[in-house]
Amino acid sequence: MTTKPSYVVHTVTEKEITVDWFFGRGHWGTKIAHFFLLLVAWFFAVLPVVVTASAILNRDNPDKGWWKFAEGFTLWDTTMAFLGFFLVLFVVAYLVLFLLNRSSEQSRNATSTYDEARLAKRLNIAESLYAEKFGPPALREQQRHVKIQPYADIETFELRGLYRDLGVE
Amino acid sequence: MQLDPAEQALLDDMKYRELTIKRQKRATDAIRFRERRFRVVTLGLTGVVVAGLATFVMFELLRRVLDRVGWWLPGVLVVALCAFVGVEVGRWFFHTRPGRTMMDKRARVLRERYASELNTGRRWMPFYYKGEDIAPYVPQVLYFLESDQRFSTIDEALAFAKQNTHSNTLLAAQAAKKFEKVANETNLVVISSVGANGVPSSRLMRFVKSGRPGVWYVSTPPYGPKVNEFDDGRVAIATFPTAEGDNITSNRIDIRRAPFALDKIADLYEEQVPGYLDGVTGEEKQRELVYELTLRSARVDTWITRDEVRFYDD
Repeated sequence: MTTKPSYVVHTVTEKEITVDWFFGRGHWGTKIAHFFLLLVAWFFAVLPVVVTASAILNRDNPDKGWWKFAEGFTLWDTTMAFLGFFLVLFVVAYLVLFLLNRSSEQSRNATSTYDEARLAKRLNIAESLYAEKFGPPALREQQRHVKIQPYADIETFELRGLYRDLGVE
Repeated sequence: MQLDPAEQALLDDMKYRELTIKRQKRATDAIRFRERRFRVVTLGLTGVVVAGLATFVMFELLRRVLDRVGWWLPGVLVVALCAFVGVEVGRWFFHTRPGRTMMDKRARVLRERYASELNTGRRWMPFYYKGEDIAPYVPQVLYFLESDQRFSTIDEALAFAKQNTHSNTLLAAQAAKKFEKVANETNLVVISSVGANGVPSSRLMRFVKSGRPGVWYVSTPPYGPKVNEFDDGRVAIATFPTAEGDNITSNRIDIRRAPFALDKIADLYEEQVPGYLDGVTGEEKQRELVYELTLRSARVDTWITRDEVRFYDD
C-alpha cells in the first residue's frame, strides 16, 4: 500500500459525496417502494423463463407444461439449431484467431517494431540534455521532490530541435 | 539557502543568462517555423498559379474544343495534374540560384527581425567565472543551488558539476562535423599574436586545411614581426564569420614552422583559396614560410550553439 504523499492535505471519502437511498440509513418509504418495484421487475423477468422451460421440459408429457403449441416447439428447435451452429462457429473461429494471434505475437515479439539504433540515439541525446540541465542520472533519481524554476524548464521544441540537428528526427 | 551578496549577484546573472538563452531558442524556433511556412506557401502558390494557368487555357481558350468533344472531366483532371506539377516546379525552383537567393533573403529578413534575441543570446553564450568559461555548467549550478538545494555555495555546485560531466560521443561527433562545415566555408582567419615587447597584433590571413583534423597551414613572408611572434608560439585565432554567422575561435593552438615552403602546399592553396597564388612566382613560393597551426581544441559558435571540439589532449 502506498503512503499518502505530503502534498495531499485533505482527503474525501466516498460517503461524504454520495447519498445511498436504498442501502443507507433511513428513507424507509423509498426502500419499501423500490423493493416492491424490484420484486415486480424480477417476477416479469423470470416468468417467461419459467413458462418456456416448463413447456420444453414437459414436451412429451401431455398433462404438464405451460403450453403445447407445435409451432412454439418448432420455433424453439430452429432457434436452438441456429444458436448452436453460431456457438460452434464462434468457438472455432475465435479459437483460430486466438491461435493465429498467439503465433504472430511470438514472431512480433522476436522482432523490433521500431528503429532501435535511432531510439538509442534519441535516448542518448535526451540523457545528455537532462544531465546538462539537472545533473547526473544517479543524483536525479535520488530526488523525491523537485521544483523546476521557469528559467530551467525544457522548451517545447528543444528536444525535437536537437533530434533534428543530430539527424534522428 | 543563504548566499553572500556577491554570489547572489552572480546567481542572478546566471538566471538572466538562462532566460536570455531561452528567448534565443524561441526566436530560433520561430525563424525555423517561418522559413518552413514561407517555403510551403511558396510551393502552394506555384501550384495554384500553374493550375490557374491551365484552367484558363483549357476552359477559356479551348472552350469550344472541349464543348465539341465533351472532354470536361479529363480537363479537370489535367488541371489537378498541373497543380501537382506546379508544386514540383516550386521545389525545383528552390534548388536554383534565384530560389536559393530568395530563401537567403528571407532568412536574412527573419534574422534581422529576431536580431535582438539572437544577438543577446549570443552575447550570453559564454559565462565567465574566475577567468573560466563555465557556461556548460551554469544550468546545473543553478539547479543544485535553487531546485535541489544540495549545495550552499557556487564553488561547491560548480565542482560537483565538473566532476559529473556527461560525455556524449554523438554530440562530440556532431560538433566535429559542425567544425568541418564551418572550416570548409571559409579560408580567412584572424591570427592574433603577442610581440616580444608585449604588444598584441592581429592579422587577417588565408589558411588551408591540411587534411588532418584541426591542422591548418598559413603562409607569411620570411620577414616582418609576425615571424618572430609565430615562432614565439603565443597565438589565438578567429575565423571570418560565414554567411550564416558561424565562426571558429581558439586560443589553444600549437604553432610551428613547417619543414617545407609554400611551393609544397601550393596545390592545397589552389584548391581551397582560388586565385591566392596567382602572380606568385616559383621563387616567392620557395621563399614564403609556412606555419602549421595545430588546434588542440576550438569553439564553434553559431547563432544558437557554442560547441567545443577537442582534437588533441594536452
